[in-house]
Amino acid sequence: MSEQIKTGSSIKKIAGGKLVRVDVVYYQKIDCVKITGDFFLHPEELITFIEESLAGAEIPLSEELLVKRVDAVLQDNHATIIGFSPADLISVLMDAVK
Amino acid sequence: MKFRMIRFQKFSAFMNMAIDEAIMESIRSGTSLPTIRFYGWSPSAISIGFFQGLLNEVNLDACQQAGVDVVRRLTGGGAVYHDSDGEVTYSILGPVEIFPQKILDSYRVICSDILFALQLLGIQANFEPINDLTVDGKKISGNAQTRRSGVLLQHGTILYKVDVETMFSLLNVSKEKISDKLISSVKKRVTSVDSYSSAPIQDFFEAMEKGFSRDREIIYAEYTAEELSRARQLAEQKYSTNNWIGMR
Repeated sequence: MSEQIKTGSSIKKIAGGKLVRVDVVYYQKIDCVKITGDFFLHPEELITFIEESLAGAEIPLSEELLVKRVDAVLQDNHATIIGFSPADLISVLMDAVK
Repeated sequence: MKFRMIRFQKFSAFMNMAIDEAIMESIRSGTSLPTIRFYGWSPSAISIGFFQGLLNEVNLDACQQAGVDVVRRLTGGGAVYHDSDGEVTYSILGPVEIFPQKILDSYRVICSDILFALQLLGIQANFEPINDLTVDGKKISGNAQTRRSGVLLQHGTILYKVDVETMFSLLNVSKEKISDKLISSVKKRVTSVDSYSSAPIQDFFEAMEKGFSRDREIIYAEYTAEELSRARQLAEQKYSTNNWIGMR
């Protein structure tokens, strides 16, 4: 089975915003996601919550569902992202699993 | 509002980041005033943003060969080359209540002090949201902010002179970032005080102090023994460790 596990990576400079890079490991569903870049997130430690919120999502990905997941993490934790939107992030993720 | 101002001193990258965190703790506990500090880096160093991938951003072999330290910041934002002789870094720290609540507003307010300082040297710079200052469209200062447990830290660098060859030999600059700004060469993206002013660096230091003294009651002071002791501990146990630097 291990040969079926895939990895992907995508990077995008958001217009008027910051650089976001997504590295993903997946097979039929997302195993793990790492989000890096020169953006800001307050509080910073929430980045792992966002990454974990995306794990388990089935391929093909539902853009709408994943944006809602990220929105929920941000709202539940009164968090602020500067440099990209949840929709930007999911767009980069979807590029990474193509 | 009273602020402690601590004049320019150089520390290692690990101590610089540790001092910021130690001061945040002392402000949180009520033992220190809100603080403005100016500092340099010895040896020269790269600092990367909290969310950046170390290997994505930094040419570690080149850094090792050049004797340049690498540290991860508490703040987001991009990678910065801190030339030991080419820049001033500032940190401003205080309870979040004394700064504008909206993050972008607080960047604008704090960065206005730097704009004022540059104006004293005859340099007309502009605040370019989210967190940059530019002259003629070229970046002269980058700034980054975090708010943790009721204390705001904003730090930033102002380039006095820039060695772009060294800077870009140490950083891995992505082509995506460059193309967005429609600039063919990364070397055209940055500038420095010495390109616009013949002021000696001491005048630059004084201008920075004046800029940050506007509308604030300033008390010149030093780091407390407790802050330095705590900072040494944080430098050793956190900021210089592979766990922290290579976290992402």
